[in-house]
Amino acid sequence: MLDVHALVKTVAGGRRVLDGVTFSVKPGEFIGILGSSGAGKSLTLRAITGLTEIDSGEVRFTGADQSICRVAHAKGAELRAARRQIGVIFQGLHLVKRLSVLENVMIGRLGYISPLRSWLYGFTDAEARAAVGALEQVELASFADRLTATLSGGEMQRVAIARAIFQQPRLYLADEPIASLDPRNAEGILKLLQPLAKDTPVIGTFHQPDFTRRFCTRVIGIRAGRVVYDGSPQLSHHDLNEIYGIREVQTA
Amino acid sequence: MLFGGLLTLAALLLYLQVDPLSVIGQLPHLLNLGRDMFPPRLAILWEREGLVNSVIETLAMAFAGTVLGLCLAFPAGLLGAANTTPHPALRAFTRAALSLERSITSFFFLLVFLIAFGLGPFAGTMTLAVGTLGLFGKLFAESIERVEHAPVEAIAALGATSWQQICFGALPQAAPALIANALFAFDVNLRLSISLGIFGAGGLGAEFLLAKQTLRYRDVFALALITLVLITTVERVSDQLRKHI
Amino acid sequence: MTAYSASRRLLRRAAIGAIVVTLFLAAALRCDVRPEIFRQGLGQGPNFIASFFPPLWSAAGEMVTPVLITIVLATSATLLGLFLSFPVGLAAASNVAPAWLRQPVRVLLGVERAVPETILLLFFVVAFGLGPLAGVFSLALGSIGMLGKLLGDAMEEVDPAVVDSVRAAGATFWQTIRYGLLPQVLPALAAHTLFRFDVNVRNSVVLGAIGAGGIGEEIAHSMGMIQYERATIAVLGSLLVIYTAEAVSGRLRRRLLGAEA
Repeated sequence: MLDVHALVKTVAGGRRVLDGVTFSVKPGEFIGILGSSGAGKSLTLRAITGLTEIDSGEVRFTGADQSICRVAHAKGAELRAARRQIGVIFQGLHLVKRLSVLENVMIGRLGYISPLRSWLYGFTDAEARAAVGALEQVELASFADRLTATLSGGEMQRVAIARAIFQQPRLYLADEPIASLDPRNAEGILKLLQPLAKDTPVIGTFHQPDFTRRFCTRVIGIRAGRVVYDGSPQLSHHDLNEIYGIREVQTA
Repeated sequence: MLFGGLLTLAALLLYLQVDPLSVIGQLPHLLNLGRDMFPPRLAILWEREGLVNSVIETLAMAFAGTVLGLCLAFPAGLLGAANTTPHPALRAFTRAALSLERSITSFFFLLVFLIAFGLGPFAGTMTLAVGTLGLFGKLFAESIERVEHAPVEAIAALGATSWQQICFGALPQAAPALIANALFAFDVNLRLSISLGIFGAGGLGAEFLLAKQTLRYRDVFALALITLVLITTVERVSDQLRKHI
Repeated sequence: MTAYSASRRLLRRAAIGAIVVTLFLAAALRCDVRPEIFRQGLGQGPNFIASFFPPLWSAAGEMVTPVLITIVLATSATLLGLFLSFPVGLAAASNVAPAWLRQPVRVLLGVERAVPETILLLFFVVAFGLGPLAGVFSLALGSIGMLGKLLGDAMEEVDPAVVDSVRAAGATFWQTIRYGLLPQVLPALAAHTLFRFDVNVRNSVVLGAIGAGGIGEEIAHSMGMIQYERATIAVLGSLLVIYTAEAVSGRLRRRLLGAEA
């Protein structure tokens, strides 16, 4: 489904922010990526969609027609075709605040409409109805005609999920979907993501091991650009210390 | 400081061969002019044939010049904004060209167009279009550069083309600023079109020149009042439109 | 469930487009925008443009004085406008002037800003004859329109506590203004004066062409005498003045505002 192999990215100054990240994703998985800030979690997701260029390594994404796209090296139409099938759930501030909630959701299928149509009138009534359906899944259908700027952080995050659902991708990527939310809202978001993962794998980056333990099927720990843990979401203290780089106190 | 400033002013005026003291002696001329101009002969509005036509001509010149200029300024803005330009070199070139164009005084363009296209509002319209391109191409580019990058990137991640990223990500964010600028452009061009009339582009400016040359000062005053009403009305209307949007 | 309707959206866009296009076509027709004029003008375009080149470099010396006149014209008009905007600004501030004085002054300021400088020049040319004095007066009047309003607005926003403390120390009316009001207003005033200088330089070129003298007159004169190569030099001269004024005014303003922040 998705194979990420030996991603390397060096920033100015020679520091390796990605240093051989490797993992694969199978259908039905809900993967939580853990790691401290700057460890390379978000960068890994960005590399998967080709938003960040990498120095070396490979991302192989299997599309609906079983063709394999090497995303990290693809350009133009081929890259767009792969991106259409990857639904990225960014943090809420990635919505266009001056458009209505419904328009923000419909933008999810922008990759499928012709340039002429996006010029003339945008989306059809049928697409609008389908988008309302996606909003119903996140329990925001009554917000459809509101200006996105008037929503709270948690509501915007759910709109972002509705956009990704409406996109009907083959893979979801969620970049810190609960980072700026209170625990109750955070739990609500994860309860939305969990059922999605049954049909379409979800990869999310998180800061809260207790949430990944409860909702994810697998955890990948990244530290200083390397995968230091890959396995069950039931992490031990030792595993956590390994991921977050906390030296264990030696008892004499 | 005040004293030094006044001295500088006096020195500068002397350079212009204007004797500051004789200016005071000339001030009565202003009073004479005031007497000659008063009361304004508002009757020209209905007595002078073609005056209403001139007002319409000025408005038409300003509108056509604004629309034409904005049609040019919009793509120039997209080319000149860092986040929508196809290539950084193209952005630098657009910016430099717009800046050069802004610095060339508009009446020179008018003189060139008057020679190329003959006397009349057509040359004025072209001049306004060129001026609008220079000023508003830059303002558009700045408005577009001020949009948030994150929403546009999210749309790129959906597999949308660059054009769709601009249409659905950048432009909705920049729209209020663009519309405000467009209304402002009409405001600017209305004033300018009156000035250009003095140089031969027709409209109200030509009426001013004619009235002055034929020493009809009371008509000049009336024309100034008409100008004032016209400009303030347009300002009010554009303020209302801006608030509405 | 939702008010979204593709057809209504298409209709609305089409309606707005149709209105703008119709108005534009009507305006363009009124302005004699006809293809044959355009074709005719463009037909002689290359030859016409070529007639501006090569620039008549030998005329460069003749441009020095007109350029200086333009600069001096703009500078003295800015200075005069600045001086006169003090009393006008005081008269326009609600915390300084009584209403019977303030309201007519505000209206006059609005009138000044609405009337283009070129029209003002026509008036002053009648009073003082052709020449730089008429130019100085019209540009100064335009500057008062802007700076006077700014001063009036800024004074109304001045911190009353500062003014009160100065007044409590026993200062007279003028001392209160000098030590309580002005220091708070000066940075904004200086920035706007610099901006106005930039505007005045541009306008003085235009006014020059209708009788105020300077580089604008040289451009108009050369064009009128069909000496296009000479006009190119004059335009280059005006470019130099405008560019320099913009750069100097912009740099000083940035420094001023930077110091404030």
